[in-house]
Amino acid sequence: MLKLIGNIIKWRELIFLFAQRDLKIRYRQAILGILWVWFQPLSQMVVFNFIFIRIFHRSPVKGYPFHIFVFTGLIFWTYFSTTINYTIPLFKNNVALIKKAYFPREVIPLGIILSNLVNVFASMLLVFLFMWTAHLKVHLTILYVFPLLLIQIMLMTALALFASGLNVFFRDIKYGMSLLLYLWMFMNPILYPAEKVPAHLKNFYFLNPMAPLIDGYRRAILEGTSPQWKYVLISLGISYVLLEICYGIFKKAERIFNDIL
Amino acid sequence: MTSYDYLVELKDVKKQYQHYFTVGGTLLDLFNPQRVRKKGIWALKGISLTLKKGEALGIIGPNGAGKSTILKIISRITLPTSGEVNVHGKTAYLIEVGAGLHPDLTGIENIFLYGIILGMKRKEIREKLDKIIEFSGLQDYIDLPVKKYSSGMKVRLGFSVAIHTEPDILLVDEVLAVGDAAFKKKCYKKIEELKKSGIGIILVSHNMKQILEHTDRTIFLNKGKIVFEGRPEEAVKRYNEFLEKKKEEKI
Repeated sequence: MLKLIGNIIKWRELIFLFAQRDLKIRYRQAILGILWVWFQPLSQMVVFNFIFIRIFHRSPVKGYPFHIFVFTGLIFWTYFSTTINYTIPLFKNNVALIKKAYFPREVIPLGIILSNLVNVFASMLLVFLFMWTAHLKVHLTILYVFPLLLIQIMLMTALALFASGLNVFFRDIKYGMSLLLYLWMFMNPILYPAEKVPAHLKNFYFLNPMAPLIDGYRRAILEGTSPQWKYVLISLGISYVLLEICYGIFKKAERIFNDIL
Repeated sequence: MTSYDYLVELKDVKKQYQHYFTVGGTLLDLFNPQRVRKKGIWALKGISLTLKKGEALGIIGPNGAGKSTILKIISRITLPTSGEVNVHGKTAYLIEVGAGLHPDLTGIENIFLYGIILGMKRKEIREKLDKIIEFSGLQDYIDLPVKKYSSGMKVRLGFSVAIHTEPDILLVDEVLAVGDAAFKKKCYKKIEELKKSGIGIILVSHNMKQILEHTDRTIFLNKGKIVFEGRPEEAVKRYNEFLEKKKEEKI
C-alpha cells in the first residue's frame, strides 16, 4: 500500500498523461463525445423506470421521483463496472509501451480509473438538473461523496489490478468478470432502497463493500443525511485488505508480464 | 554523487523465458499438466559484461542469440532469472519503429507521452520541445496523428525524444536500420557527441559497417553465450567466419 502510494506520487505525471490520452482518444473519434457518457446510465434509467412505474405501478422510494433515485445509484455503479471491464485488456492493448521502458505497470489502470472519474462528474451535472426539475435541494452533506468515492476508488483499484494482471495470463478472466459485475449490480441498492433489505439480512447484505457506498451517495446527495458510517467503515476495511492482496498479486505478476506479452 | 567504475555491470546473468503461460491462455491451462511440464528457453546462459562512461559497446550475433534480451535486462523491462545486474544511471532504450508511439495521438502528444515514460518531467519536455521537434525535422507534421507517419518519420520522432532525455546509458537496438541516409548521419553524429560527453552506448546491429565505425568494443554473441569480446574488427571477422561456416554446412 505504501509502495503503491509512493508510485502514484512519483509517477503522477504519467498517470495524468494516460488519463488525458484515454479521454482524448475516446472523445476525438466519437462525435457524440460526452453524450455517450450520459447515455449509458440514462438508457438504463429509462428502462428501470418503465419496469417499476409502468409495469409495477409503484415506486419503491418515498419522497422523490424514482428516476432520480435510480440514476444517482447508477452513475456510481457505472463508474465501477465499466472501469473494471475497460481495464481488463489494458496490458495487451499497451504492449508497445510496456516493451519500451520500465515504469510501474499499475499506472496504466490508474490512469483509466482517473479518466473515468471525469465521467462521474459529468453525470453529476445531470443529477443536479433532475434535482432542480423535481425541486429538490442540494445539501451540504453532498461533501460526504468525496470520502465515499475514495473508498470506491480503492476497491476499484484492487479489482482492476487483479483482473488486468491476470488477464495477461488467462484470457477468460473477462467473461468471469463481466458475469460477476452483472450479478453484483443487483446486490447493491440501485433498483431498490437499502431500507427494503430485511433487518436480519442487513449485516450480511452490507458485507458487499459497494452497498454502503451506493446507499451513502444517495443519502448524501438526495436526502441530506449522512451515510451509515458503521457499514462504510466495514467497506473501507474490506477494500483496504483487498487492495493489499491484489496489489501483492499484481506486483508478482508484473515481473513476468514482458516475457509473456 | 558517488561515481562508479561502470555504468552497467552484468555478472553471470542468465535468463530463461518461461513457457508455462502464453498470451491467450485460459484458466484451464492450470490443470493441463503437459503445459506445466514444458521447459522454458534459456535466452542467456551466463553473460558477464561491463560498460564504462563514454564507451560504445557493440553486440552482434545471429537471430536468437540473446542480443535484445541483454538490452531488456539492462533497461529493467525484463528481469533476469539469475545473476547480478548493476545499472548506475538513467537508461533510454530505442527499439523497433514506432513502438511506444500511439497511432491516434499527434506527434506532439506522443513526444510528451514517450518523454514521460522515459523518465522526463512535463516541464522539462516543454522546455526542450522545440529542440526535439527541430532535431526530428518533422516541423510540418508534428500536429498530425502518428498513424499518418511513415516508418522513417516514426524513428525520427522516437530517436529525437530519447536522446533529449539526457540518458546516462543509451541502448540502441537495430532502430537506425530505417530512416534516410541524412537522418542516420545526423543520429550517428549525435551519438558520437553524446559519447564524448560521457554517456555509455550499447549498439545492437546487423550492420557491420556501423559496428566498425561506432563501437570501441564489440561482443559476438551466439546462443546466449559470449563467443568473443574485444576489438570490433576482430569480432566482426569472427562473426563473418561463423556465418560462412554456417552457409557451408547448409550446402
